[in-house]
Amino acid sequence: MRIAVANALLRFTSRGPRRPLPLGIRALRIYILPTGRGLLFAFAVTAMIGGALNYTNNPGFLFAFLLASMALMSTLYTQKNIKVLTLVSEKHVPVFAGKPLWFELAVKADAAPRYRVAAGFKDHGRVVRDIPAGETVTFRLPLETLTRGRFRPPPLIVESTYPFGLFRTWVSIRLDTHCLVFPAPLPHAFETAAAPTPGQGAGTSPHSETGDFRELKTYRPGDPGSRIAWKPLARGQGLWTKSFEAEQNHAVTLSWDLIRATGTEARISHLCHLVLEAHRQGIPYGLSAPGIAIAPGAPASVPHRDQCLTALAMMPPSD
Amino acid sequence: MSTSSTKKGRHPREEAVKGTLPLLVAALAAGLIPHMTHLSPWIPVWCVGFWGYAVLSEPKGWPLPRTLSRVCLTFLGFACVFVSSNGVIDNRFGASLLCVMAGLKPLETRRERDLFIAIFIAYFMVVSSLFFSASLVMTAYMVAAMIHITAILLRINCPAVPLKEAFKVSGAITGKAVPLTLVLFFFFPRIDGSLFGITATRSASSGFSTTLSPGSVSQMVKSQAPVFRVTFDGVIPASDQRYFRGIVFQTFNGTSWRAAIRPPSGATVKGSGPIASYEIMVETKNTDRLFPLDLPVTLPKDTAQLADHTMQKPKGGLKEAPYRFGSATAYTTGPFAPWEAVFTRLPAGGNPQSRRLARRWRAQATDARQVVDSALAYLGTNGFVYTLTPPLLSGERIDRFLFDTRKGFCEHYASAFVFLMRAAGVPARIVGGYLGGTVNPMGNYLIVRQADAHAWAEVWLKGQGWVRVDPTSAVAPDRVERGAGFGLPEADRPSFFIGDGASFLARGLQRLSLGWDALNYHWDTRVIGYSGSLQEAFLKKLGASSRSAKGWVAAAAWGVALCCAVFGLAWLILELRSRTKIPPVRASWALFQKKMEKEQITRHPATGPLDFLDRIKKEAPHLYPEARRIIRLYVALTYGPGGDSTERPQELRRAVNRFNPRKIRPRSPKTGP
Repeated sequence: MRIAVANALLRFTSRGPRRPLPLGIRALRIYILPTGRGLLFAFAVTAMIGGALNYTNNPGFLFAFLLASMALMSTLYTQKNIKVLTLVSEKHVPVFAGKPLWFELAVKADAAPRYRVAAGFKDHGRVVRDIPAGETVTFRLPLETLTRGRFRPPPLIVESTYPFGLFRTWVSIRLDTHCLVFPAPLPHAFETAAAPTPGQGAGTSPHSETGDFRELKTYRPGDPGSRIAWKPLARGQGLWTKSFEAEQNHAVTLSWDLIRATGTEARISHLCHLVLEAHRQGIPYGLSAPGIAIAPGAPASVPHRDQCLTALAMMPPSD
Repeated sequence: MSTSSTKKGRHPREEAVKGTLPLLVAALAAGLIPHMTHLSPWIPVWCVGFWGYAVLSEPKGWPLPRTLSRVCLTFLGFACVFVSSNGVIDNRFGASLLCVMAGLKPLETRRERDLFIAIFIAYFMVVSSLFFSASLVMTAYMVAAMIHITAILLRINCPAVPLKEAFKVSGAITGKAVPLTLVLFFFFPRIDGSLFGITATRSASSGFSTTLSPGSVSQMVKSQAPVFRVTFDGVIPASDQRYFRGIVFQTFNGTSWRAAIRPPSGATVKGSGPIASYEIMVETKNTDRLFPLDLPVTLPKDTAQLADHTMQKPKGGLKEAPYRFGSATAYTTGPFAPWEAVFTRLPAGGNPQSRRLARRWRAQATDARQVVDSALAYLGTNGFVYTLTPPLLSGERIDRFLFDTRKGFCEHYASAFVFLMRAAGVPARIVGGYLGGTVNPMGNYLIVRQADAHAWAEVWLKGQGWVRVDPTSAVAPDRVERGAGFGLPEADRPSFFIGDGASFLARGLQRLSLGWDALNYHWDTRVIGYSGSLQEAFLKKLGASSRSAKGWVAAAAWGVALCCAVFGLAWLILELRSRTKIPPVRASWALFQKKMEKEQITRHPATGPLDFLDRIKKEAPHLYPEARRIIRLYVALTYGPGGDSTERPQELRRAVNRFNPRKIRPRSPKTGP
């Protein structure tokens, strides 16, 4: 008996396991409490009961009790408004630290339309949507990202004040999912080490402009200043960036050791920038950092870029 | 129009408020309507004016008043209320203030919160109107207004809900709330009397005044407004026993009788014979007195009897709750009290013929009883006529009536009779009240209307005390034995009188109106009149009580258990409905998926129907043609523009039902050339 009680208490107080999607809200513990308006409403009904008591006015009692009963019965509807929902799936793509991560949550209603369903991560605001009968609606929930790395999203809250706004019902779900945040890129001069791949010469640097000039590309923020084509700019033809043959052909390695910064995080951020830069310019690149050794991949390959960024994101923080 | 745009810019309406004002005004109007009858006419005009402006201000782009002008308007409204109420602060004053505020509220509705406050004001308006009228019709209106306002509350909270659905949900929630309301109503602890000592007073509009002059009763009998209703514990006494006593007139000034002196309180009655127990439910708008059956011996709580056996007017007015009396129909009253000398006095002169007649009777008689008999015999035999429209009297009124016109209504007979008695030295007085009443067979209770108003006499006889004598019975015995309207000449009868010769239609209508009255009466006694004592009686049936601690606990347990049961039932209904209610399209879709599952093709919940079709094409190409038809139908029904055809859900159902993957043979895999 004591163990049963202790277990029940534990079940009640524990936050429960992390849950994968799809997930019916029916399976969760649903909370309900009056809102501020609900408290005001309760106050009004109490005043009516007081008045009815004072004047021994039975119709007044009837009306006040009808209001109170109606509010109580509305809790069933409030609760049902989220209970029948199913969290179908979630989708999110990694972002760079400091940018909001948009968490897309697909929520499906049952046979009836469900109104004013609000969803959001704890302390991250709410998105309110109406869900038509039997349909699936996608909530785009913002998540704040401050630091790089893999993290568990805070508890997801799904709530509703349907029908009268007098009660708020909610569930708190700890989703079994990870969010990945890449390091915030920090501009850095393009310095690379030669890739230790066979068939390639010794350390080349695009910086040295040894390769043959290939073409002018439109300038993008982050392009190193040394590559800016000053002549066209002086002619008033806009900003252009020079690109060189060597970059197309010779794989480079973006190396931890070549970064002129001391802090671990700063170095990671600079490397992140270089990865993006190399990707953009279509240079085959590899990555070398403490605990990371990634061979150069196909030029402009998104999976390769993401592999590198993920590796950077997951680097253990220095003490 | 730069000024108007700056004003608008200064007090912009929030996005959530836009477009809701017509609804809000509709909610407030539902609160105003029941107040229309008792408010000064300028208040509805005030409300409609401001509401109209508020509703039109949005589409027309009219400016909203600034804070200062709103404060000024509020003060103006309050001042107008104060002036039109003549400075009397009562219910009407409070209701007027509420309505004036409601009139201004839509003008200052800028934030979502204001909308909710306006809705609460509408609720308050409805509940305050119940302090003025508590009839069954009003209660029905109250429930309708409640559904209306609540639907608007829902709509304001969830703007996406269609109005029709808002009303449907509001009605459904109110329907589920009714049983819970009744439990709360009957179990919520009641106290008899006022909580803070403030009570509502309603003034009676008609009825007996303290003066009785020829014509005062005959005026009353032209109205069929109910005055009170009586439920007897046992058999309803015969019509000629149902004298309901209200007021005793003491002094005569030659033209009218007055109840000028307040008699001492406390009365002595010795009942002999059975005591009739009954409850009186008063129509408080039609009377401010209690009319117990002659003569009351047990009284309701908080009431007092005066020495003339009438009831003292209760302080703070009558309640719309049953008053329980016990009356002795056979009784003797105590010895002749010194204050009762007032019942022997007559004006010094006047009416010499009558005085002579009285003195002659007195000389011939051996005791007072014989004088009474002589007078009754005189009224019964000298061609007196009982009529509602007697000729006007002037001068020596009693003489002219007794010896000249000989036509009169009950007050003429009572007045002449009491004059004769006093002239003969017998203490006598006029009693005003009601006689008879209509038995409602549909509720076994008595309705007493103004039409039953009557005046009769009492004489003081040695050994018996005050004895009732009805001189009208000597002239028109039918009035006493059969009720109001009987005994009168055909032309005199009130239009609503239903006599022996009434048509079938009139009788049918009367039955209908009696049925309606019975419904109202039960509502009034059981619900409107529900009180601490009725609650105690109700709790006793459940083995609980509000008097003892243990009984109280039992009562609370009953109340809480019933509340839980009712709430649980509502939950169950809602739960079961959600499990069974699946729209046909979705049911067909589910069946289709089930059939595909048997073919090892399961749709992931995140897979859309068209992607599902692609999978079917890949994994079971032989099912593709049929599946494509079904899925296309489903997609069209679910995502396409609805309403073009009602046939198609049926079509989908038939297609899915016919769909049988087993019967479709997989084609032999194609072999390339």
